[in-house]
This record gives sequence, structure tokens and C-alpha cells, in this order.
Amino acid sequence: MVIHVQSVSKKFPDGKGERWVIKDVSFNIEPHQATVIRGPSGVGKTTLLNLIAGLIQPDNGEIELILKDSAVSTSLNRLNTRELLRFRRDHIGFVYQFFNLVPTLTVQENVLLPLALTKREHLREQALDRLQKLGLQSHLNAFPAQLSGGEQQRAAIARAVAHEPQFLFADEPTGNLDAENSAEVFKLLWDEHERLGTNLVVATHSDDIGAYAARTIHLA
Amino acid sequence: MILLIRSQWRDLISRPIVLIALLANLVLALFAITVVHVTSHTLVHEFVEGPPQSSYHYVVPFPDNRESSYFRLRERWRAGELPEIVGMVPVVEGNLEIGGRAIPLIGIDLISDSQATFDLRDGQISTHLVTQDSVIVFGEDLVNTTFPNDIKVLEFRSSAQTFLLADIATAQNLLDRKGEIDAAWLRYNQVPVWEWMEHLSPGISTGLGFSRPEISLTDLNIESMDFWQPTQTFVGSIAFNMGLLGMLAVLVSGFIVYESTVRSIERREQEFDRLQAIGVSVLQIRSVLILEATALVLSSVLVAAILALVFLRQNSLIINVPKTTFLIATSKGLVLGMSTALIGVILAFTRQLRKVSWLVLVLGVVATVAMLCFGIWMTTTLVGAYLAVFALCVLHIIALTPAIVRFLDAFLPRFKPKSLISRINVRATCQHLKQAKFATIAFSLAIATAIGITLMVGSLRTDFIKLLEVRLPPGIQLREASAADPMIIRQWTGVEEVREYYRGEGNLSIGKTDVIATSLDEFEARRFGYEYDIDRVGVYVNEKVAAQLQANVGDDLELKLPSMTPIDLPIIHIFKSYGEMSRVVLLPNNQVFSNQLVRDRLLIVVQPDSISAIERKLQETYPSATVLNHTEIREQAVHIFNRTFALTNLIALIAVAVAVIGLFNSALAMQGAKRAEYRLLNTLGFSRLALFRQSFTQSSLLGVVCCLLSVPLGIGIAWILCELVNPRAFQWTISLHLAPMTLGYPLLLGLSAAVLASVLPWIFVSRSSK
Ligand SMILES: Nc1ncnc2c1ncn2[C@@H]1O[C@H](COP(=O)(O)OP(=O)(O)OP(=O)(O)O)[C@@H](O)[C@H]1O
Ligand SMILES: [Mg+2]
Repeated sequence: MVIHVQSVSKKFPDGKGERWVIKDVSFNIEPHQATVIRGPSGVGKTTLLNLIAGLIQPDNGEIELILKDSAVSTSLNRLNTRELLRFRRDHIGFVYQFFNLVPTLTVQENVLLPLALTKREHLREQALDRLQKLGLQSHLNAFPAQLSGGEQQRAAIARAVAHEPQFLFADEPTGNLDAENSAEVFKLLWDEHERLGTNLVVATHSDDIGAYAARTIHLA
Repeated sequence: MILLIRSQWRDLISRPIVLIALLANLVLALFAITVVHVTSHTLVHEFVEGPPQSSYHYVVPFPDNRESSYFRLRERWRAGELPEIVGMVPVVEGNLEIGGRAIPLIGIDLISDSQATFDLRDGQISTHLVTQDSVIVFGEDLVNTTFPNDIKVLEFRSSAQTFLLADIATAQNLLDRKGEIDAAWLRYNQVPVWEWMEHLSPGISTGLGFSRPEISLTDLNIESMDFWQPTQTFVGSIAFNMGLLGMLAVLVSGFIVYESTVRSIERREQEFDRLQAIGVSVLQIRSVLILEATALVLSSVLVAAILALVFLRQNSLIINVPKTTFLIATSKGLVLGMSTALIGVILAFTRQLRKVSWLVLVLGVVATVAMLCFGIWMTTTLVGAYLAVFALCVLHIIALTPAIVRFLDAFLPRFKPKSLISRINVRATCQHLKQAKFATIAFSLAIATAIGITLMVGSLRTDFIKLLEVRLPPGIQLREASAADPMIIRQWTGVEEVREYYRGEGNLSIGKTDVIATSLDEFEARRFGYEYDIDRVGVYVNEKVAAQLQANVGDDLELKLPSMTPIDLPIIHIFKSYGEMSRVVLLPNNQVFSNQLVRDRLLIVVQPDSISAIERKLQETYPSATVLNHTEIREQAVHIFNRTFALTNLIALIAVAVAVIGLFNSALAMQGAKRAEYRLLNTLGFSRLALFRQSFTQSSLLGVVCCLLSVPLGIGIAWILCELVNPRAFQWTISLHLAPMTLGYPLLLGLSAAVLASVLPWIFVSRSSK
């Protein structure tokens, strides 16, 4: 439930040369903490989030995630692709700005997908209840394309937390939404974080989440 | 405008794979057109038989063989009957024995028609070259033969057929038929339109059953010369088939151009809207797209022409490539390619066209079904058969495929496999099918054609090999064997039997026929698949004779042999003779006493262990004769058969390749949208392998659906080819064998091609997103 980021750097090829997007970043995130990553566009928020989620590998430094009830820390650098995949599947939930749902699955099926993948079918009832609570009961058998942007993000949250992961990452989850919807989405994220006791990390421009967050990391 | 073109150009080269695929598809289709055209043109012109292609168009046979009949006809013509005819010559025909073979001799009168010409491969020859008492020999195969003393050879000419041409008096002398005339040949005053059409599409006149206008006299029979050229009909039909296949390749590539244009327009819809907002006219945008299509087609034509030239040079089937034919073929490809591409682009702009009202659809289906029924039952022409094929394809395009896609679309979402991943696969396949409807149609059309052709050729091959097995029992054939003495050969150890065959040409009421006279005993009956009955005396005819005479077993056949009274015998058996283009009549040899038939073949039945010894002995004893082992002939026949159809297979393969590129293109377009989905699934914990497996499953499902779609159409095409095209074109029947192996091959080909075409883009996408 703890995230240690230790002098992590990441570079990308840029034209002919290379460019360091993340340079020597370190921070710790305590259990059950909600964290906001802020910074101007292009500063590397998405990159940092992808690093913590193990979707890309850092060029320098180390990222450690420690699970609840576990004394050992998992260093993402030392996992091979398959272990990383399994770790991500079992313990991380992710909400993007858009395209969070598999277009060929209904809302309900999308939410059940992580349960099937992690073999946590016992969480089925909770997951479906959550959909109800999110006001999606009338859209259970609709395909994502038939939902509004706000409904899609709500369904995306339901999907991201369905298997009750210990880490919940969100990258501009409200970037496509109006103020009202975006406030609601943040509230929902916060509620789930509270209820499940996950670590929540959100990258955003928006100020709305600031009210909730215990901690803000500024990238510049 | 320049800016627009530059933007279009950048857009084009920004997706090199799509560009390459599109170019490859056009090049392949145009290549097919060019190769097919040149090959069929060459074939049609090399397989001319019957009387050489002369400037004559009609024949008037004289049943009484009298000169006076000819003069009477000539007088009537001079008096103004038959105004369409501009020239007329008397003709006598027969066979001479040269080098142990029966060689046709044609005698015509030189002075009767000053403009008579014979059209041959190496140019025209004026009949004025023929002088008294000498003959011109056509056909290189006689160059080294010793001619009997009474035949003075003026010169040798290369020709596809072997025959002698002489002055009529000389011919009458040589044939020992003084004062007799067989027929008059008539010249028509103009070249009909379809002779020009032959240049545009070789074989079309045969395919559409064109012939010269009928002209008639009350008391005399006037026949069109075309009727005398069965081989040409065969080759014409093959050429026409191949032409259709080539067109199919263009049609399929037209679908692909259409689809890729629609995609490009959809993808850039917003961009086009913006452009219009800043004052660019719709026309300008369209012109840029049309310009793009033109540039693509032009470069493809160039590449295709070069490829075709290289291919044709390498191909042993074609000896030389005539320049004009090649140019015609290339420009035909250019025109067809341009028009399909342009129609594709223009159609892509007209959105209304994509929604057809139900009424129009129902009317269309009814009309097509009517066309199908007409082609099958109401007519017996070849064009009817092709109409049926066409109608079947149209039904497939407008009714069957959309209906099945609709059904799957409505039904599949209700079908819920337990695993969510399977659900994704099934639904994604369904979506792909719907979005890439044209690629699906084009693909299934191509596979269906491949199935149809393969089934037909496979069935023909099965029947043909079965036939060869009984027709050519173990034994040795001696050809050009008039010098050989069967009595002597019978004495050799190891020889069980020596059978004699007399051969020559005769006349039926429908025209010339090959005549073979032999002892029609139990042995011969077995060879021709007849249940021997000692009490029945009569002739065997091949299917061609029976079909053209509309005769059945039991009907009487009237046959005229030169210098003999007509023979009148019942038909006791109709036999198949695949690959034989001519009419064949088999006579019991005790009925024939004609000096016009030459005993030029022997069949020597030998004990199995002495075959090679006897073969050698025959060669030594009769060096001028040709010794052929039946087993070898059989192998050779199968070999020739396979070669003739190799080109057909090649073209079917090209059609499939073109369709595969279309499928690839549409899969590529769709993978763009899939990139986001793959990223999502990847964060959810799908490994690259799992994603590949998923992509592979979806491709296979798509391939299976496409292939299943093409099976009914393929079998339909095969049925029409076997039951309608072949009997109507060649007058032989093939029984359709639905052998699983034969059906499986094109299906497997299609399935693997479909999977490959849809999985490859995945590999590209996963590479580029890494
Ligand atoms: N795969 C990549 N290859 C090359 N450069 C990349 C790649 N991913 C990101 N970058 C670059 O890294 C920088 C940071 O990108 P990132 O998406 O992390 O920024 P961000 O803070 O999320 O911006 P925004 O607020 O606009 O989403 C950008 O300049 C981007 O061009
Ligand atoms: Mg970002």
C-alpha cells in the first residue's frame, strides 16, 4: 500500500537527440493516501503515472510498491514482463481521459472483465451494486458508444475498482467533461478510495480534486 | 490547389503500407488483364483448325458432288441471288496418304475468285501462287517427309494445321475424283462487328455465340464456316472464361479502391469540412482525390505492363508476343483500371447510394433470379450460361452476403459465450464484417470463383483420368503405320493381339467429322465404355456428334465418306471424348471399303513383361512410324491437361491475391481504431501474446465466415460450369464431384489468406506502437 519513487528519470527520443522528461523525481506515498500530480501540459504527468503503473520502464531510479499485509516490497524494475503484467492486473486500477471501456462489451461486461481476469468472481455482486449506485442500472446492457461522456467515466471508475485493487491511478479522468460532471467523477473516485482504502493517484489540471487530496506533487 | 495536392500527397505517403497494398492490388489486377488478354489472343490464333482461315465465310456442300451443281449455283449468283456474296470458288477435298498419315488435301479453283486469300500465321498467301500440277504444303511437320512421286511440292509454309493446297484440277487428279466438286466456298462482303470485338476481348464471339448472319437458298444448304472450327470454339471458350476471370480481378480491385476511398474520406471528413469552411470547393477536393486515383492507376499500369511482359516472355505457352496485341491489352487494362478507380472514387462520394430502398432491392433480387432461371432453363446458349454465373454473383453481392451479415449482426450479440474474451472476439468479428462489407464481398467472390474453377477442373480431371484408363489399356500404339504389316507383328513373341485402325475424314449433315474404322468387338467396346452386344451392329459417336445432331442411341446416322455411297447405320453408343475437339465416328470396319481411309494406326496388345522389348523391335523395324506406349500417352495427356488449366488456376490465384489485399487494407484501417483498445487491454493485464491470440482468433473467425459465405456460390459456379458451360461450349458432360479435398484446397487457401491478411496489420500496429 506504499509507493516509493526514488530518483526516477525517464528520457524520450526527441527528433535526433533525446530529452529527459522526468528527471530525478523522488517521493513516497503512504497507505490510503490520495495524491494529485499537477503541472503544465507536457511536463510529464502521464509519463510519471505510466511509470508508477509499470506500463513503461524508467531509465534510472527505482519504483517500489508495497502491498497490504506484505512485508516485501515489489520493485517494478525487477519484475519480468509477465510478472509485471500479473501485478498490474491484480493490484492496479486505471482510469484514462477517454477510451476506458472495451467497445464490444456492454457496460456490465466491461465491469466484470477485470473480475474474470483476476479470478475474483466473488466480487461480482459488489461490482453490480456499485453500478447501481453510480446510476448506471438502466445502461447495464448498453455498449460504451451509447453512453454519454460522464456515464462512460462513471462506468470506467466502476471497472477500475471492480476487482478492488490496492492502487487506483487516474490520468485526467475529467479532461473531457463539463464542470458538473467532472466534480461528480472526482467525488466518486474519492468515495471509492475511501471505501476500499486504496492508494489513489490522480494526474490533472483541474482544481476540483484539490479539495480532497491529502497531498499534491507539483511537476515543473 | 497545389497546397491541396501537396497535403493529399503527404497523407498518402504517411501511410506507406496502405499505399503499397493499394498499388499492389491495382498492379495485380492489371497484370491479370494483360496476361489473360495476350495469352488468350495467342491461343485463339494458334488453335485454328478445319479449313484454314481463309477469306471465305460460308460453305455450300453439293450432295451429288457434280460440277454441274456448282455451275448452276454460280449462274444463280450471277443472276442476282445471294446479293451479300462477293466471291465464290469450287472446292474438292479428300485425304492423301503421305508418310503413313492421312493428310487433308484442299483443291480450289484459282480463276473463279481473284481475291481469294488464306490467312496464315506468317502472313497472307495469295492463291495465285498455286500452279498447275503442284501443291503447297502447310505445316512444318511435313518438311522432312518423302512425298509420293506424283505430288510435286511447290513450297512449304509454316502453319498451325497440316494440309495441302492445290489447284482444283490437280486435286481431282491426285484424289482420283475427276469431275467431282464437294462444295462451293462463299465470300461475304463485310467484316462483322464481332470480329473487331475479338480484339477487345478474345473469345467473346465464341462466348456470346456470335456467328455470321444466316443466308439461305431454298434448295441448297448454306453453312457458316465458323461451324467447321470446333477447336477454335474450345479455345475461344477457354479464352472467354479467362477473360471473365480477369474482369473479376478488376471488379474485385474496384471494390477495394472504393472501400479504401470511403475510408480515406471518412478518416478525413473533419479535415474536408474545415477545408470547405475556409472556402475550398467540394469540386476541388474531389478533383484532388480523382487526381490521386489517376496517378495510382497510371503507375500501376506501367508496373503491370512491365511485369506482364516479363511473365509472358518466360511463359512457354506463348511463343511470341505480338506488339499490337500487347498494346491493346495494356490500353484495355488502362481504360478498365481508370474507369473502375474513377467510378470507385465517385461512388464513394455519393452517400445516398449506400442506402438502397427495400423496394429497389427486392426488385433487383427478383430480376436477378429471373435472369438466373432464364440462363439455366430457358435457353441453351453459352451466353445464357454466363448470364447464370453473373446472376449468381449478383445475388451473392446484393442479397446473400448482406442478409447473412445482417443476420449475424442481429444474432451474434445475443449469443453469449461464457468467457468475456470470446464475447469480445465474436462481436469484434461481427463489427469488422459489417464495416468491411465490400472487402468481405470481394473476398468471398474471389474464393467462390476459385472454388468453382477448382471443382470444375477437379471433376473434369477425375472423369478424364477415368476415361484414359479404359481408353488407353496397357499396350503400344503405332502411328503413321501404313507401312507396318500386322500379320508379321502378330508372329512376334509376347504379342497377344494386333488391332488395326483406319482413319480419315467424312461428312455428316452438320459438317466434317473424324472417322475411325476398326473391329467393334468386345475389346473395343470396353475401351469406349459400351456394354458389348454381339447382335447390335452400328456406330459409336462422341458426345459432340450426338449433341450437335441432337441424336440419341438408336437413331440412324448418315455418314458420307469420299467416293462412297453414304453409310446409314444406327448409333449404338455415345462415348465421352474429353480434350478431343473434333467430332468422331467409330465404324465397324467390315462396313467400309473406302480408299480414302488410311490404316495408319495399330494397337498392339502385349504381355506386360515384353512391352519394352516389343517397343524397341517396332522402332527398329518401322523407323518411319511413331511408337507410343499407352501409359506414356496417358501421362502426356494428363500433363497437357494440367498445363492448359495452369493458367486458369493462376488467374484464380491472382483474384484471390487481389481480394486478400483488400481484406488486408480494411483490416489495417480498422487496426488504427483498435490501437486504443489494445492499450486498454494491456493495462488490464493482457500480454502481447494474449492480444495476438485475440487478433488471430478474430481474423480466423472472419476468414471462416468469408469462406463459408463463398461455399454456396462456389458450388453454384462449379455446377453451372459443369452442367451448362461445358455441355454448351464443348458438348461434353462432366459429372460434378464434390470431393472434400478439391473443395478443401481453395477453402484452406482462402482461410489462411484471410488470417494472414488480418493478422499482418496487427503486427504492424504492435510494432509501431512500441
Ligand atoms: N512515447 C513517447 N515518445 C516520445 N516522446 C514522448 C512519449 N510520451 C511522451 N513524450 C513526451 O514527453 C513529454 C511529456 O508527456 P506527457 O504526456 O507525460 O505530458 P503530460 O504532463 O501528461 O501532458 P498533458 O497535460 O498534456 O497530458 C511530452 O513532451 C511528450 O512529447
Ligand atoms: Mg497527460
